Amino acid sequence: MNLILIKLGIRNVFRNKRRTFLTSLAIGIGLMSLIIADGFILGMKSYMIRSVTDDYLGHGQIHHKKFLKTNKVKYVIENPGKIEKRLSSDTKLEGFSPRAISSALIASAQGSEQISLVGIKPRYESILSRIKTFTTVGDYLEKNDKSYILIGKKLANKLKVDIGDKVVLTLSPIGGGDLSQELFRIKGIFSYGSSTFDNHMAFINLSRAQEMLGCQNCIHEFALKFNDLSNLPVLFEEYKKKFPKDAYYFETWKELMPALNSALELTDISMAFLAVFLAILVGATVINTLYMALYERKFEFGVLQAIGTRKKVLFTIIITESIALAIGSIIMGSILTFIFGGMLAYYGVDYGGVTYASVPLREPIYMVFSLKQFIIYPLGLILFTILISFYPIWQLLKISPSKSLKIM
Amino acid sequence: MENIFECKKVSKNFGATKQVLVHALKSVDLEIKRGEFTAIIGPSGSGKTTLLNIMSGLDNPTHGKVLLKGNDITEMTGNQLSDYRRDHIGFVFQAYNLLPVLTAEENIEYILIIQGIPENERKERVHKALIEVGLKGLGKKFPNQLSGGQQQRVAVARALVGNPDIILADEPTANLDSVNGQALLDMMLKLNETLGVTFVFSTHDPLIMNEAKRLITLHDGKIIEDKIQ
Ligand SMILES: Nc1ncnc2c1ncn2[C@@H]1O[C@H](COP(=O)(O)OP(=O)(O)OP(=O)(O)O)[C@@H](O)[C@H]1O
Ligand SMILES: [Mg+2]
Repeated sequence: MNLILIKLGIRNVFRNKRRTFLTSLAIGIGLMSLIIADGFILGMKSYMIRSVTDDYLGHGQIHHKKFLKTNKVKYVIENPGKIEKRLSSDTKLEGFSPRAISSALIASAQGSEQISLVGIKPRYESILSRIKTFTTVGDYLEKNDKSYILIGKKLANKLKVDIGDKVVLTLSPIGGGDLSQELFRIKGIFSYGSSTFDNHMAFINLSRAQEMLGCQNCIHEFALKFNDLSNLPVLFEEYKKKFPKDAYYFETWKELMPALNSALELTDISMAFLAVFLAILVGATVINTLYMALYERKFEFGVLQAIGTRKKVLFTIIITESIALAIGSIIMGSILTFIFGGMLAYYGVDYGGVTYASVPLREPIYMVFSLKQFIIYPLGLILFTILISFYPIWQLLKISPSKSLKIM
Repeated sequence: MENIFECKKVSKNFGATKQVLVHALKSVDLEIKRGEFTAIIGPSGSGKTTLLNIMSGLDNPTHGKVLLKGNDITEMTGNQLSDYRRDHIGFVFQAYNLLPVLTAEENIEYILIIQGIPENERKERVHKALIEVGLKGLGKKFPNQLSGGQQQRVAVARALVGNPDIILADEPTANLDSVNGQALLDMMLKLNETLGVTFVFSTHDPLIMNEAKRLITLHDGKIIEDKIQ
């Protein structure tokens, strides 16, 4: 293709500067909305995932396969000592936390509540989860704290207890028989911002929980946290192979929190809807502009055909024009994105602790830029513009040149 | 002289239904010889534009044959017709011949580009064509920087530059005042005499038709007079 044909297309774009500007502004705004929405959803997703996994869950967990389904304390992990050793020497892990879990009754002088009691190793747990961070009143557990307990803020309110107050825990041991009952003092009160945690959770030392359950080395759960977050899917596969048995069964956070996972997938779907919606908008704008731009120049195209331009060459000339328009729009869109997206990336949007899919949005959500957004969306826009311009061009080429030339 | 162009019993009907059928051309026979300078005249609606369009392959005749140097152009496909026009026909319209976004030079060069002529030869031929039509030094101007007469000259240069067998011009002077129209025609006549370029043009202008060497009169789609003057 000769340079003059490209020149022709590009100069034609700048022929009606105001129309070109308005069109590329419209398309550019479409592109910007797409990139910002994507960046925002990306920011929101990574925040939610981080928040869920870092708060308590970890990236994955090991249980007896039936434990979560039945909630029966008898389904303990087989050979936990051996597994703990394997996890300790695993360099792919940033940390892990062994937990013994049982439902229990917590009672103060003022009342009683059904809770989920978790026995933890305080140091291990502090690497894995944020219980320590969220314990804002009183102190976190120490390794040797025999009779101390951490409870949630709302639970403390219901039981009308404070730091240093006494509570009684009651639970049934794994082997059955008499209930275990022990006295604990409140050492710390945590607030997660999530009602499940703040109403229904309490933490004591692992060895104490095991004693109460009447099972010295029993572990129900290993929560795992990996080093390399960008590689999670691969690590998940690896761990699924490493811990495949019913008696020690690895599950990812997605499997453990299916509701969150589907909420995140829902955001993908809404993103797709947005993309389709914007595509229709951009498509209509492009078609409209091209129709106007081409039909007012019908005579010119008639002349070009009359002097011997093949339809294919004419097609190339016009398509160059729509590519030039698309590129102009991308430049416009990128500038807008840098200005407005940059502001969102810098300041973020504060949801003020609203809960979405039971994840509290405590911090502002920041838009996340990725290279993909600046490659895939613009390329898609160019392809789409080319594709959509086929229609008006086809309509135009259908007109016989002798008709196009009929103006006088 | 060699016969370069022939219409044999060419008719053209417009309209899909019998009721509105227009017989724009009725069994027209016409031969054009190399080097002729022919004017087609006739009242409005007599079929001048239709005849020129059929000669250039922009329109297909309803009946009849159109032969260029013995080849029937009515049998050609779309691309063949495009190439036929590109290589054998030069075109000049009444107005708006030029692409407004290209300079005079680029407008002329366009034909050579689609003919696939290499760049240095193109530049040379464009330069020569501009001199031929008396526009030396105006090549870098855009059409809207040129007068109507100058624009028509650029159109003639574009029609000329590809070395066509024949230049067809549909009322080339209609949008010009009589002085400029006369000047354009004088220039075409000079090209005809010095370079032997074959011209067929339609016109309403009595002054201009008097300059033609051959005068064909159309009436109601028929040739009613064909004289050498
Ligand atoms: N596309 C068309 N559809 C229907 N009728 C047409 C069409 N083109 C031309 N005609 C008719 O054919 C006849 C000849 O038209 P043509 O344009 O060839 O005349 P003309 O001699 O060039 O006239 P003018 O001097 O006004 O340019 C006219 O009656 C015109 O109305
Ligand atoms: Mg006419």
